[in-house]
Amino acid sequence: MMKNFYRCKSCFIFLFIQIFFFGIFSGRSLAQEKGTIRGLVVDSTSGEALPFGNIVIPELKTGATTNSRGYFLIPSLPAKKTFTILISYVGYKTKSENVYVSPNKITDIKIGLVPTNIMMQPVEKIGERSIEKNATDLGLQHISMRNVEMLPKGVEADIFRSLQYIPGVQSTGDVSARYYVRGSPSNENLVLLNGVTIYNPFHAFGIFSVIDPDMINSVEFYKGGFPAEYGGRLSSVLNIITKDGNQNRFSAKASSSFITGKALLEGPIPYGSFIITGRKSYSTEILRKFLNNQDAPINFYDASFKLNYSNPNFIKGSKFVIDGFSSGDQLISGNPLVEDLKWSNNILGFRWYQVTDSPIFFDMGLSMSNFDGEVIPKLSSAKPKTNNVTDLTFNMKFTYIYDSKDEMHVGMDVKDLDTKLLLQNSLGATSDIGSHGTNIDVYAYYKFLRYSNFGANAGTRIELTGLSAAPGSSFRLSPRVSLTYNLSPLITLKAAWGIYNQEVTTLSDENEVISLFEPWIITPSYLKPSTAIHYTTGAKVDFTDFLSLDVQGYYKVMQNIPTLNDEKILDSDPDLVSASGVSYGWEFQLKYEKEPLNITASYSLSWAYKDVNGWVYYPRYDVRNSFNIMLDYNFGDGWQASAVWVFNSGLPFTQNMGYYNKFYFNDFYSDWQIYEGYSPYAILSDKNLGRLPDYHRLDLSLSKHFEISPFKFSLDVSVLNVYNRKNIFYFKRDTGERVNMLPFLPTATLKIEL
Amino acid sequence: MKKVGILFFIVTAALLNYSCENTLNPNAPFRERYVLTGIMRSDTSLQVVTLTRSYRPADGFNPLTNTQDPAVIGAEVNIWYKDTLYELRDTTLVRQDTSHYKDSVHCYYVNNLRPEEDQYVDIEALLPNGLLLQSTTKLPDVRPYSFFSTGNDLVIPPVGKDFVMVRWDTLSNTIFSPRINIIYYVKGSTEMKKWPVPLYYITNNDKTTPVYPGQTKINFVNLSMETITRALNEISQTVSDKSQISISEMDVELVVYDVSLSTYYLSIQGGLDAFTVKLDVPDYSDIQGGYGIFGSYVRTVYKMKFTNDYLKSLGYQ
Repeated sequence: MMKNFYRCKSCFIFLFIQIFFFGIFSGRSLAQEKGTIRGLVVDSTSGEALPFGNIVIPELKTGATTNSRGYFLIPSLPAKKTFTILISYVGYKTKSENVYVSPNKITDIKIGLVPTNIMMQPVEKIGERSIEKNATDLGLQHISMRNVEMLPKGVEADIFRSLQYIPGVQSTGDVSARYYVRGSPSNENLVLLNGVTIYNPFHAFGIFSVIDPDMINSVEFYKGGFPAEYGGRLSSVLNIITKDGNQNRFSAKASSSFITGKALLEGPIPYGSFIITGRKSYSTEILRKFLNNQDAPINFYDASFKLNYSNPNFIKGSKFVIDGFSSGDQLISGNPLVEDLKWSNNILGFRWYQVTDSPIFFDMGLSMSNFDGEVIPKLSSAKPKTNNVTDLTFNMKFTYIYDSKDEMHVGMDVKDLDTKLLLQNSLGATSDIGSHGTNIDVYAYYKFLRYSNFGANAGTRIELTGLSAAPGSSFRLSPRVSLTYNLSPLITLKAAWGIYNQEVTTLSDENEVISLFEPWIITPSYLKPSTAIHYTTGAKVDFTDFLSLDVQGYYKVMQNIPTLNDEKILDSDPDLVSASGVSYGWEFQLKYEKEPLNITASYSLSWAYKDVNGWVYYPRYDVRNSFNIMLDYNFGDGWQASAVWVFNSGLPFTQNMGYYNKFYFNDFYSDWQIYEGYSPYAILSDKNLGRLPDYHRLDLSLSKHFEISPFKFSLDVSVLNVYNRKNIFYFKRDTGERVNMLPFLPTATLKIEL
Repeated sequence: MKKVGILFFIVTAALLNYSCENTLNPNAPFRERYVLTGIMRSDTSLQVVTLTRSYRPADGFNPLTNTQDPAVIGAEVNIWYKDTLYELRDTTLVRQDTSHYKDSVHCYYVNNLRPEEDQYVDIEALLPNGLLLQSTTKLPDVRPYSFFSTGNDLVIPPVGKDFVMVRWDTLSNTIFSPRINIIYYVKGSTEMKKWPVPLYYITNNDKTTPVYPGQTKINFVNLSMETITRALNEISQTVSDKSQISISEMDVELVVYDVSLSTYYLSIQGGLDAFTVKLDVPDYSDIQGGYGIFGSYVRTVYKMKFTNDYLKSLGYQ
């Protein structure tokens, strides 16, 4: 048995290497009398890369899309000819450039696009359909920072909150920016900041994220079916790339909201650029609105920096990046009878990007991500909780683009993870879990893009060693396939299938609607690593250049999901039990994008089930019907308005089956309390079988951009819950009191840019 | 643009007209459940058990709106201890707190049962509707001569150190409730008095507060001589003449819960931080066929003497 296993293992590694090198060399042999254009598209004023922009060669009816770092590559072009290429990007003037294609060579170009003032005039968007029609991107959403900024703001513009408008993404209330994707718990979402895992990306009990939108350059969000490049999570991937900093001039921004003040400084350095951002809370009065008028004098900050160095005299085509990020929240009381709370994230990363004379992109990185969270009870009755996570990751990736337009991606991730957790559950049982593991993954996937009406992405991730010490956590395959077929110029059909693995989990309590932080641990060795299989299908219909409909259906099966053991009574009882889950549904998104009006309407119909020890129930994030409509309008002259209306059918909750009088006591030294020491206590019915009333809310926003030289001002006024809908958050079982979510809430933000 | 504005106005007005708050029904169909509560004590021969039934709030939401006493009357409650059957009798007591229920307190009792350490006690309650509630408790094994460590301090102050430590056996999943008292007499009276000694004092905003030991899984107490001296000085402040006080000893009194009562105690403490909101809290019970707790505790004492020189240095005779 073991002999077969090792033989099989060797076969896979051999096959893996074979695919890569055979692919490269077979690809090169095709490259005769042809040429390639490789380009970098940047903002002409700042030099900032423009990701996911469009490049079209009208004469050949071909083109490409820039990647997350602003690069594009169009291979296999007729050589010794000059072509006119059109480069377009939302918010920038479309540029036309003539490029001579040299035979058997890569012609490098750098294109600077001039930003239009989108507040003053409409923007252009061309050729998107012709480029993307065979892209294998089912489940992928590119999130524009412009859209994030346009949304009405509760506390701050927030990338995590903007995700909740995507069909298939749910939240469980106004209070939390935590999100749930296609019926999976939030700990199955991977959040990457410049390629580095960030474990607890939330400020202030999850009310908003630690990532300041001003530092973001691009955001990719996979709500399922993600390629073999990403591993370690079952459900979704949020990949955030921060800005490089202005390469042309120094600039500064400052802004203030009701809760924070923040600043950004950026500018050029020799052969590169830098950017530094910082945000600090100065008033948390508005948080009371989110916390049922409870005082939450929490202090928090986040700060980031990024340095880029790209010297052609050092290594031609190279770019070196060092970036760092730090966030911290604390609620420290001078009173020894009140507990102290604090948690922080710290990230440091180094990355080397390289383009070569052949159509190979290469990047390699080393990073460290750390999370520390702590509840220090002091002399209070709070229970202690400590969580430390240290993640050291090395990864490398090669991308080869064939003359046929096919792509080969090969990479390796090495992750060394150390987790420690100490806590006491509600029954007083103590958990003291510390584990360490090293995960080595290799992956390869082939993008078959040579036919304009058909695309395929097939590959696998191979886990050579697992983080968990559980049997079966090593040498696991995660094959994935994604297909795209253009049925007609207007209709594109897509499908994806894949296996996903996860070996870390949070010891989070599903019953907590507000929690400080979710403590991370490596999945204990008594549980098998969790696995999910995604089946996804979809169709995109482009009615016109401005109107499109995207329909997706999914079916997801999850096995071995670590779930908090509610019945842990003794210290020796397991902290987690294994659960399974199934989720399925349909998602619809209709988009109308023609300046000055943009409308996006989304609807999802979904089901989620979780099975713990034979009990099947709806998890708290199971929302049957979800609808939202976003509308933004550019009035010109710097005025812009937006409106968002959200409707969700009721969340599951556990009903009361009655009450009984429960015996409470402090000690047995004072009077004997057994006669009268009783208080009502709820007897719970079957878990989550009831439904809360439907949720709906209308938010409005009005913003004005203006200049008073040398400053640029941006004033945003938002009103949340315009018609003061009393959306229920939860009810207190001991008193029957109803606790509602956000009331009518006006907010304002002022941004000043130098 | 004008049309968009009009449309927007109509939609907003329609939404405003929509009911701003949906009513919530938090209740599933009611099913009656029964609750047994009894704590067997090693420090008395009076053992008490209560039986109640579950109820539905009168207003559907707030359980405090229920004013009908849910006591179960007419049940047969039996306890087995060391192969002897004890039949509990029902009785009523005058209710002290009548803010909620007006009726007398109903309970079942037996007054000739004093269970000992390391012994089992079984209970069965046959309800008038034929339903049987059952449970068992085992009193903790805390026999004094083996329970407290032999290396504990016997006299105060101890020789060569400025703290007093009393340690006892670790019992897994067990809660200890220690209490430290200085035993003293006022001359002319035979009444024994207890002065509680804190573990330490804390000062916050110029206000000093004593911190007394709470329920804990920790199997020792540790007191500085400074704390003990301060407590002794506080005793003398209750009288005008210090010579009226006769200090006898310092006791570490320990109540030890059995495993069920320990778990039950921890489950009712909550212990969440001030911000975490938890909806469905697991309910611990060891009653077969119902809810509640049938647990036990044992009380034991460790005594220490003061040296005469030490008491004299503080002005005591």
